[in-house]
Amino acid sequence: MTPDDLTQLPLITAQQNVINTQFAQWLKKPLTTLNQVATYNFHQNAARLVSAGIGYALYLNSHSEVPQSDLAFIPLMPELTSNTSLIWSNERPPSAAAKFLIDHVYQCQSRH
Amino acid sequence: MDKLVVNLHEGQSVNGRILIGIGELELTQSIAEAINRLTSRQPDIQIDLFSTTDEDLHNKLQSGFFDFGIMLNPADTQNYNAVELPGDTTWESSLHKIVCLQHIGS
Repeated sequence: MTPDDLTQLPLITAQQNVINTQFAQWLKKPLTTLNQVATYNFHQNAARLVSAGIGYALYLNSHSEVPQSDLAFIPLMPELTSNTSLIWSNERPPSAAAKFLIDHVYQCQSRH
Repeated sequence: MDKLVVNLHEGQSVNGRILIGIGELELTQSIAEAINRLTSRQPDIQIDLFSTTDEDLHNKLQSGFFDFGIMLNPADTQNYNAVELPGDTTWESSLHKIVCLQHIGS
């Protein structure tokens, strides 16, 4: 699925700015040039809309598993990937329990 | 992040809840593993996960309701401390691919 392919299709897009910024870079044009028929903020709901035949969803896939058996993923070409961060306020000191989690996240990082 | 701040002694016991907001994502393997290691060593800590929108996540991090947020990069390092969750080949499931979902019939 290339940028040119996508411009032909009815699309269901995420409401996340971070995804949409990346996606617009991949597309090399603003999202407003697309045929956006719906937006979502919860994966399963996007899957339901696709299942109902409303359009094609742009979907952040974490686990390579389709959410429903009647759906298939089409990889974007070129591939578009992202990763995540654990964040916490820099104005409020973390609780004792929260400090343990931070410690374990650093430990998991250093082991890989 | 100053490692000395978080480098607590292993023998110390702590209780309490940790509230984590997840912004429109599925939980990644890396954070699940860190939670597993934490709760197995500190059984009196309870983890509460909340799936929510990015906007709600920011509001509740600012208000102090959430201890942590998990969000897509790039992280807002002006307002938050951030630690990137691994996304290399060893951690395949934490790598997010943005793909197109198509209906193929039942």
